[in-house]
Amino acid sequence: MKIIIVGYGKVGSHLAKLLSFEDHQVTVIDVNRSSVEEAVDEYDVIGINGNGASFPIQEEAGVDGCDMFIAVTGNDELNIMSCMVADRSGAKRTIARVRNTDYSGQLLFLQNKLGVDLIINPEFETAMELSRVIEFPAATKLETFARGRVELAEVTVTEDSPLNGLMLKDLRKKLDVAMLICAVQRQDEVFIPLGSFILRAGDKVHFTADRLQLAGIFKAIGLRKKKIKTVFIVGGSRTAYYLAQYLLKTGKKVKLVERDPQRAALIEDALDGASVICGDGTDPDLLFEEGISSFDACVALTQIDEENIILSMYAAGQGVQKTACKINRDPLVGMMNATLSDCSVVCPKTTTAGIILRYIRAIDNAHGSSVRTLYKILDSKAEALEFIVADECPLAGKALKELKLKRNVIVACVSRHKEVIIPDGNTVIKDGDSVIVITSGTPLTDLSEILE
Amino acid sequence: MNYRMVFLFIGRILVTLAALMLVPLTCAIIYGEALAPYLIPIAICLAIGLIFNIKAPKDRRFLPRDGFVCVGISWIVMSLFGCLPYIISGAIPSFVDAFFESVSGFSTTGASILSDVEALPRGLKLWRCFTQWIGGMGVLVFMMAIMPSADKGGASFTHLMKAEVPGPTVDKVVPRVADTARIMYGIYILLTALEFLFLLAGEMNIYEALCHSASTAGTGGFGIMNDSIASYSTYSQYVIAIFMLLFGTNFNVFFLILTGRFLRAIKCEELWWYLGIVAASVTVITLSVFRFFGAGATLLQGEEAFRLALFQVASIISTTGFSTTDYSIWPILTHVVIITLTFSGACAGCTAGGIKISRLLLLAKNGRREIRYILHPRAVMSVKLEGKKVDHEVIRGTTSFIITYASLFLASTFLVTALDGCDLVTGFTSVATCLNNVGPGLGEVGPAGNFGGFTAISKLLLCLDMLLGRLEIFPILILFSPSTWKRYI
Repeated sequence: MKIIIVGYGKVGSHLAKLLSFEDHQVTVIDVNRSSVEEAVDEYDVIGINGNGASFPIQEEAGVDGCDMFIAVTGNDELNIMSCMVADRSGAKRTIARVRNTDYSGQLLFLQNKLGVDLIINPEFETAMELSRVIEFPAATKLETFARGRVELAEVTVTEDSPLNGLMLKDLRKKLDVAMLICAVQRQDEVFIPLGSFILRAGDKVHFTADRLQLAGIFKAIGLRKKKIKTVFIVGGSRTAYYLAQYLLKTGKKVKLVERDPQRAALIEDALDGASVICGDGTDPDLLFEEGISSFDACVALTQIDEENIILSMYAAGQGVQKTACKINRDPLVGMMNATLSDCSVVCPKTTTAGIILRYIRAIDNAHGSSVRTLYKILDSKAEALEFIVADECPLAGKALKELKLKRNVIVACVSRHKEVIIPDGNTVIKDGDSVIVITSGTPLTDLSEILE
Repeated sequence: MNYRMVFLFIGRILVTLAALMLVPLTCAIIYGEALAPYLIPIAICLAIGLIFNIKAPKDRRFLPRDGFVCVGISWIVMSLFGCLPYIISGAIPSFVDAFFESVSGFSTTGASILSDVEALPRGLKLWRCFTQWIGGMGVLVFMMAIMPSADKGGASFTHLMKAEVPGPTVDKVVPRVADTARIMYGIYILLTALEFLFLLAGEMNIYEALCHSASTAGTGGFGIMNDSIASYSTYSQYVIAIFMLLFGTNFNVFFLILTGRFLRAIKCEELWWYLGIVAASVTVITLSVFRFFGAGATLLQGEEAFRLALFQVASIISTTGFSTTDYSIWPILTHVVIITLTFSGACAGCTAGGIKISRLLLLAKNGRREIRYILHPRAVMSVKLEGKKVDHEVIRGTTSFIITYASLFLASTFLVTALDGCDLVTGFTSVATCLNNVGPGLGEVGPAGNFGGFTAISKLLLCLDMLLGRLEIFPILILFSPSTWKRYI
């Protein structure tokens, strides 16, 4: 697939990395010469120095006939403009990152009249991801599939959990829960475990389950946490605004601390019912005064990664049950996990890149069993994908034990109509099912690729 | 260094080499010659190559410097295993001599220690020429072109290509480096096939045409006759001269032409300088040689002077090293031109050796800028090449490349001259011709002479020079730095 990426920032570079590894033909455009050189040095891409909205630059990049045009510069208007130019000069699909709320009301207009096929708001997506872990505080991460019926949850095995020392094939016998453990991270290595795998304390475990049974499962594996009613948010970014808005809507109490008086006033005006504090959210005295220890959850959303990490550690120390934070530079996530295993970390660029990747894979495979959902999990070392089984799929009508799957691939869940099936060897996949697959191997675009 | 990954690469190189040796093997079968000289090396390469490839390394991290090391080592390994056919066949019994011949082949130099090439079996002569064809574009680029895509480590392969393809910067013509490698090899094969057909149309038979087009394509210069190309017809000489010039042209130009972008192709600044230098040199040498023929020279001799001049200029500037005459008896003026061309080389991004015209252009433009800075200390000036501003880093890299090149050249010249006690012309031109991958020099190593007279240690030194020249110094020099060999995994 021929893909052009405009803007080699955080999201742009992450996309260039993922897409070039997936063997697409990637061209990067950036106004900054050194960024372009960095791109060409690091990844197997071609670089063009210039303004991505200018026609000659796009022409040089081969916009006519390119399959995907992605504009992810820091500037909304430039992104929209670039996509418009690309759409008129023959790009098949265009994706723009638009974060300004002023434009969020005209998404349909952008799509229909201006030719932008997909519009992404990273802050909004990040907020939605955070809202899910607040809903189920026992999980450090939670991804939804099959229109919200299936959940993929990440938990860390503790010393006293019944999972500690458990061999996977004994899971259902011993605990009587409908869950499937589909990926385990131990130190730096990611496993797609077989039945003989034995869990240990400290392992990061991903499992799939029916959303309705999730609470019961958390209880069974000894990770029950009480429901979150009050949330303390530090930092008044757009993400914080979207998150607070969502939480308020679901009936939670929100306190938000923002340093800049003007911004604080603006948020107070826009949010109905939140208590907004103007002050330094990293000042322990202020946090004490505002009673952080009495809150169920603390979400750190300042601009600075290190502040967010330290805040989360501090909040956990103060007895806050659930901590979550946003981190922009994802290498930090890998470095901090060992010490702060309970904290839910979201990385906007990974979230955004995941959405774009899913869109690309779905386009890439317009005929077969197409990708509906895609998440990169465990520091992008593994992928969780949801496929809708198409007519001619070679998997349909066969029991799983008859199929010879690739190594590092697991069928984690099958959703049929309203029923959620945690698969075993006898499960038969049918036409129209949505199948969730976890893989740590090569990227998949079609369901049939899981076969050997 | 990630040793496991480097071993994996060396293993693959050896397997590729074994596959490439099938070519002379086929030739030997056709002509009913001894097969052992090819079968034994093939078996050895396959065995070692497969041992290195049995287990895939767990940690596939591959740093840029590993790429450089891989390129350096694999060229040495290739030359070592590539010399086995010469030794086993008994044609060149001494190891140092065989290694020299092999390095000279892969590095596309074309310098030989043999005094009687015609005495070699046909399979071996083809192998000599074929090593030059492989060495021209580079075996790692070849591997990249044929390797399945899932096997690649992304950008680390760009570094391999950077280390192997000549020129100050590598321009990928398409986003993926593997595709770029395929396109480059595609153009290479196409041009070689064209030359083969043109030669076949003349008096050459299939075998001769194949050998000559292979060694022209790599800008190598190994012939199959003792007097190189001199005994062939005027037509063949013109064909080879023109193709030598073509193989000295930046392959990007061909790519642009093939994709219908003529305007951008003819805007290539380096190309015009290249053609200009060729035209000027041909004019000077033609006139000089015409005068050398004596007062009564006819118009027919005028054509001969032009043909000799064109062929020699094309051969030297493209660093091929074929010859149609012994130009060491020509006037000194022509020698000066020839030595200048030896150093300049042809365009970047092709199979030729030498410093490359684009580097010299950069150096000249930078020099002009320095002078203007003295005159106008506050002027804002940038160096432009191909209409684009050249980064300061590239200029710095180019200057340090040329300085290192010159220092290595001087050091080798003094060493070779001192060790061998030969005259300075021989010492100077033998090193120049090896470092620039040309082939013939002047004096004892002129077109009529050969490198057989040097001592073993001088031959090894010249081998080093040839590899330094082919890989543009740094992939070989990096092997001498102790920190290269530190293991990080």
